[in-house]
Amino acid sequence: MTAPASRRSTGARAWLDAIRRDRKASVGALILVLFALLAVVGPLLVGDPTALVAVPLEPPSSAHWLGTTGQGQDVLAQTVVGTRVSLLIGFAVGIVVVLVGSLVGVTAGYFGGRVDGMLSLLFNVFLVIPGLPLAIVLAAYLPSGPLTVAAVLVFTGWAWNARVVRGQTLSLRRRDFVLASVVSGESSLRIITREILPNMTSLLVAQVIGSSVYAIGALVGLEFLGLGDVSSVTWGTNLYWASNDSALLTGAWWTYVPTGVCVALVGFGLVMLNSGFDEITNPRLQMERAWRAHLAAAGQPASRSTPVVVRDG
Amino acid sequence: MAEPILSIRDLSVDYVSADGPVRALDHVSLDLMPGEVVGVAGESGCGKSTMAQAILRILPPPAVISGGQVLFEGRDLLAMDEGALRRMRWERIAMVFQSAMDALNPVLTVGEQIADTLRAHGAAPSGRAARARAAELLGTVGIHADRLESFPHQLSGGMRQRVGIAIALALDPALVILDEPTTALDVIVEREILEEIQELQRKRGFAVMFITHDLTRMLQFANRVAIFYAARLVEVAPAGELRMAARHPYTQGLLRAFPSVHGGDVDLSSIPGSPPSLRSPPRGCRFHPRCAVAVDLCREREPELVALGPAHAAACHLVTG
Amino acid sequence: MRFILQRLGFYLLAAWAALTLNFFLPRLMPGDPATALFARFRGQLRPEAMQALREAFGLTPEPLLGQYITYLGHVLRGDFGVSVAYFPSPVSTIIGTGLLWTMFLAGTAVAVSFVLGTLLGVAAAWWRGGWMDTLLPPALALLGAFPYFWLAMVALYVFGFQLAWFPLGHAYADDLTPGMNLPFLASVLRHAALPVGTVVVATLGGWMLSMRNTMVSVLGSDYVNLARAKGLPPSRVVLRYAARNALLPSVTGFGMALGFVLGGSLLTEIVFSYPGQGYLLLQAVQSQDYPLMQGIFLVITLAVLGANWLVDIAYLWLDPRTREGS
Repeated sequence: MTAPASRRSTGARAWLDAIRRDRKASVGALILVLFALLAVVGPLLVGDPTALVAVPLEPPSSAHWLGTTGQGQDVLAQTVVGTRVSLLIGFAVGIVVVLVGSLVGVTAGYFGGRVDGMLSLLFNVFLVIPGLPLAIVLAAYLPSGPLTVAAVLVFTGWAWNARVVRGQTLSLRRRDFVLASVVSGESSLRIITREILPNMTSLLVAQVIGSSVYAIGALVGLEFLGLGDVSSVTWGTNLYWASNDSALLTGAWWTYVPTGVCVALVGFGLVMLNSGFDEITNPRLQMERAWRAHLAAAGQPASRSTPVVVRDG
Repeated sequence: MAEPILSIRDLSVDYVSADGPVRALDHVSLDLMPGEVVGVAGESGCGKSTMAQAILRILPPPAVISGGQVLFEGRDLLAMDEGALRRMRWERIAMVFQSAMDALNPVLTVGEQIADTLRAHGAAPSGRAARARAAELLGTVGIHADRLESFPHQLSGGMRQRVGIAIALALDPALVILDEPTTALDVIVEREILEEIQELQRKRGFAVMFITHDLTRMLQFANRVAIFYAARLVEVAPAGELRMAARHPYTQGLLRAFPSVHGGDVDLSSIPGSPPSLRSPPRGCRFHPRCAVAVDLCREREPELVALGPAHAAACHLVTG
Repeated sequence: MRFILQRLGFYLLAAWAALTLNFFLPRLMPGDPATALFARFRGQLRPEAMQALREAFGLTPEPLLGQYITYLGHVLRGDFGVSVAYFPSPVSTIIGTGLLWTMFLAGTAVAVSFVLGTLLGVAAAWWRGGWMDTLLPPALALLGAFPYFWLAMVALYVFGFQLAWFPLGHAYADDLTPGMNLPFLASVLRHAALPVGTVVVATLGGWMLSMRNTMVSVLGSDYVNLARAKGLPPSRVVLRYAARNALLPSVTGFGMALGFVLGGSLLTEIVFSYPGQGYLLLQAVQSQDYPLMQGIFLVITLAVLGANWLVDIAYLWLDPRTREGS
């Protein structure tokens, strides 16, 4: 018996088409592609972000489009260069968080019983312990650096994924094709990797996107507190320096506005992509959309009582 | 002859999907006389429940009513505005849902769910009067008044369905639609409840549309029976006539499938195959792929409903009046 | 009752886990934790003070288990050690002053956001396809994508500096005496407006979206259909039948989001120099005041666990099905 998983056969092309047809997904994808480009080629186009190029706290001008920092560095260069490291760490953490969470979640959901009891207890405890204060204390103890921050974010962020993946595994575990494989004596590892995980692909993609939103936000927060490597140029350290150099008191909005807008745009792009995916893959939303279009074509409002749309007289 | 209380004419319902509309009820016409019990039977997906909810216009998206009329006491429900519909619902037409577990609000007590129906239609001047009336209604379905404070999950399946009936009778409706009211129950409770409904119907004289896939029960209860297949009405006849002289091959198959003694599981083996997909129904008569006596004409043209007697009609090329 | 006790047991377990985590944190540092922990203060602190700190952390020459028991004993007595930055003030005293402010700020923000977002979600689901359903969620998603503290900086700049509608920081005006008097309370509200507002703006979208999605699926349920068939007025169908049930998953989510929102609220405090745990935490981080940091982590964790338990009790009240066996 084969799993009805092989929707992959439709390939990446079908996905691209689906994204293009959905407005939210296209907006999200477009934003993310632009930022990916910025992260890859951007640093080559701007100067050294740490160079002291002008008078401190100079407002935006033709020489420095986004003005200068409290130390006299170019804000544009800092924002562009910061993109690369921030996105790299953010997405890497997002992926690792889902890997760890899925491992725990699948194990708990598949094996059930005592294993499930212990693992569920573990991630439920992690879910109620507030993540940011824990991350702050951890980051303060460990030697500072990008790896530390990434490790801390994985440690405080995996539990939610474990919970979601466990629930999904439990429901797949009861499906006929999995039961058949269990009865036919296939190994657990094979069933998990061949039958269960492939059927969760869209859920895992959504989880990676959601976790990346979390990771980028938390990363910027920790670095803002000075818990990252403050000598590197990232979005979070840009904000740390802006705040340290009393940008607020001097009204130097240009030192923190560009970075904040970048963080928000990336987060927004990810959220739009995710809700776009949901619209594409959720049959219920698809149906309702078709229903609305059908009513609109007949010039009918979507009434609360079942609408009457006479087409064939 | 009296005017029908409910007259469904050429009613069609579509479920709209991304690949276009799917017809779930196709040009169905059916009348109900005041005080009459009409049974509606057919396999699941044949359109019987869709019709029930379309009458009250409570079919949720993605359903649309695509044509026809539903005349109730002479007024077309499909042409009514929300306000008029709201008064018509329950004051004149009530319904017992398939699964009382799902149809009762899990966070309100039984009493509240009966009382709010009364209050919404001005049938009880005060909260106290509504409670008294709710207790009385529970009494008529054999539930003690101290259950007013119970939540649905605290009741047994049979009791929940009795509450559903009590709610349906709250405003003394002229028509009660029973949408497979006993499918979720075991055989003994099922019989008890049906007998209760029958007795209440005799006492109060409301008309009943009784939807089920259990033909045997229906033949005991209904005055007249309508058989649905793949979104269409294929045969309608008085219960006795249908039992003795069903004309449509599908009805005949159904009757063979349900022995008159209650003999355990439903067995549809006398009709091979399964109902067609409504997305692409077969050409001609929709039943022809499963029909033992189909001829070429059945594969070509869709049969019309033909009158075979004063109250008997069937849609089959092989029968003639 | 059983449900409540079960949950209490779980939170006690979580509290114990947090305590244990807290115990091992200093031991994560390379080398001798005590030396590393207090390295900065060698020479500044008298030997007796150093000894007091070591004991509070259980950093004694005893074996690990003995250290652990000593540490648990101290914590249970409310002794989180002595702050290094504010030496010789005990950590518990320092935390105590700011705890109420933090709980007030985060509690108000999360409550306002939950109520407002949930109502918006109900409205969006009820007017499906209207502007509340199509335009508002992406707009709120965009706002929610900004870091809380960044929104706080912008709010402070625009409404504090430029427009001068709100004070620039702190919890109340310096010239007022705290107490139950009108000028003081008014001042507290004015000072809380911007920090609360930024957290609300940043979290509103999440509540709205989750309520809307649950509403949409509840609106398709049999019991809502029966409510409609019964001819109940639309407002009753939406509130007593649909929203009342759709609220349940949101309340479960509320408990889980508490810790998350609190984290954001701590960062917002920093921007507004609000005298709560966030501001203290920043100072602790900057001056490497590890005892204070750990104390704050523990107290915040305990507060979140307690709040979660209260949410469970509220859930019990909202969902009669969990009341079984009581």
